[in-house]
Amino acid sequence: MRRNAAIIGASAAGLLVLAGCTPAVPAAVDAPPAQETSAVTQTQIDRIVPATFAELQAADKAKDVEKLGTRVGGAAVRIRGVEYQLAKAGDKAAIEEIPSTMQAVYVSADETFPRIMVGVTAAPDGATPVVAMWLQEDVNSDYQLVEWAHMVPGATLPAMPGTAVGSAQLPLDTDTVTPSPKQVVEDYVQLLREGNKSEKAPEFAKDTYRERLFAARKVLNAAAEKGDGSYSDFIDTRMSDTYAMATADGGALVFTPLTVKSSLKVKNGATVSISDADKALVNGKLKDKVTHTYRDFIVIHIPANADEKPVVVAADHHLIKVEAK
Amino acid sequence: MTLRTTALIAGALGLLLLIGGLIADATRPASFGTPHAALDTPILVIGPELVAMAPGGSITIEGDGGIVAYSARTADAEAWAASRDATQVTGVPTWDDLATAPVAASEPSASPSASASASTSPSASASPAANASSSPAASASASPEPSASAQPAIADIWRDSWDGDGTLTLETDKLPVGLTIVAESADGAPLTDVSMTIDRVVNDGWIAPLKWWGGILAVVGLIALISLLIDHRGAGTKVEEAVASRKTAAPATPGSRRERRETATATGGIPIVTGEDDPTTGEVPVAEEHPASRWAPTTGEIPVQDVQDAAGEGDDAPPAEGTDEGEDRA
Repeated sequence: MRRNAAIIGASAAGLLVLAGCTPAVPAAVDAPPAQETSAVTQTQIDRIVPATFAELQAADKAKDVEKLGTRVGGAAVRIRGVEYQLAKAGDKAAIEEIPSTMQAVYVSADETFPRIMVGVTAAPDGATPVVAMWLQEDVNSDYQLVEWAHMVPGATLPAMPGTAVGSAQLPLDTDTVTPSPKQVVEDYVQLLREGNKSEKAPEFAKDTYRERLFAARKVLNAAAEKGDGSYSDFIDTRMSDTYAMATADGGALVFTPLTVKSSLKVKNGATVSISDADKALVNGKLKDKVTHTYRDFIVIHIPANADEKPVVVAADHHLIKVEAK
Repeated sequence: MTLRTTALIAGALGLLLLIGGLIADATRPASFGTPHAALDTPILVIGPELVAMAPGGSITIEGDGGIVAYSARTADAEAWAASRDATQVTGVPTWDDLATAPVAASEPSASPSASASASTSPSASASPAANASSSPAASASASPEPSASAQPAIADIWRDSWDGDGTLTLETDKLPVGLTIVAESADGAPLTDVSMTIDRVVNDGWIAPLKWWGGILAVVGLIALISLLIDHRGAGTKVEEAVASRKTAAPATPGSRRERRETATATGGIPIVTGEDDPTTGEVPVAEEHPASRWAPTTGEIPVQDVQDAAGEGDDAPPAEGTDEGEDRA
């Protein structure tokens, strides 16, 4: 009896000793923060940008829009297709040069979709740098170059957070900037529609984009009057394709597309005429009315200081369709 | 308690300690654990908190073909895996097992919620040709697997990628901190197993001292035991002590065989005839008072009592050589 108790005691002690050797499973730890919180880092940018320009250059070389679609999408395909069409018709300057070298890249820090990435290229020959916008529709999509616009002469882009951190993509109705991106776009479209006499004109700093638009409107109005006709234009935007990105100082960059339709109609048997470069795009036979459709893209800087006026820092006016009716 | 006894007890304890140390050494757990889990999906998701649990360790993913692993922000990885047949490693409950669970499908409204423009963007009418060629086709074919894995270049949500054939081992120290790891079979076939190598601090610092001290004490005890069995005294001392240790034999029982032998020895082999056996008179002879009258000149008889006394008087003397007395004492 006494011997059995001793054996049991020794066994228990042995088990305790052995149990003491085995540590517990490590406890769960909190996920450490990522070192780079942006949606895309420089590593990813270095894959996206070259792939984009490789596709673009291949399409440019072949003047074949079918070669686009993987890394170049959205309105950029449409615009580039028109440029190829014009180039094939003999317009050697139709295809815009978009340098593949980036001066800066602004990326989103958001975890939601769609996301944007903005690159500022080196300045092409005889032109200002290009602001190009990539869009990632959803988690299963890759970034596509969808819009671009040359910087307005004299404009400067604000400082932006680096690629390791990224910028917040702001809701269009955010109150972090005043006025909100949505309000700015709506007001600017109203200004474009109404011209320099608009009540919204004092709310924006001067820019060459609207000056050229107003100048063209004036010329076309004069031409229409000469033919006893009329001129009208229709300017609209799509908020669904408008994005805002926070700047480093608390302001915002707003990227918005514009659709501009300008119609010229003459009477008394007169016939409208268009430039030779645009004739390749004419759909139908030119008679007394012609409508040009443009796909524009503008970038507006809303300063963090509400006392400063929003200003257009980049804008392009791309002809995408000419209708002879 | 003598020094030898103390050493013997210490030796016994040392032997126990040595045995305990050897058993503990033999059953000591490895310095790292390798919990694992079987898989049956082509995609595996390992969060950054799991990677952080195994500093200096590794993650091994096994499959029947090519395996590609990516790193991505956790939100992106989870959103990507939510529409696919994926398994997520959720914890390390034991040193042998990894806990896993299917990746929960995300709500479709999750991503557009932060932006009013998101919900309507797919219906953009500006470039119907572009929409038709990119987004619908991509989202439709990506979910069930092979098309997504067959992409020659990795998708934009992935930051880094690693690949292997059959087995892919990732060292956790070389993985980006704070990112989720997603592994995918290249051909869409299910992965078979995932295991993690996690360093564990085994409390075994006492085993070596236990063995050493147990061994030392056991040797001490062994020496004591050997010294107990070996008699180190000189040969002369041994003999003297052996002789001195012998005790005086007890008197022989009257009438016993020993007593008769002793009597015969005392009389020098002359037979003794008792009084009753006197064939001539049948009388019992009377013992004389004086030693000089002990001998009967006429009969030559010797009084029995005297003979016995004479024999008894010699008990203290050493037994004569050749007698049985020494044997009896022995």
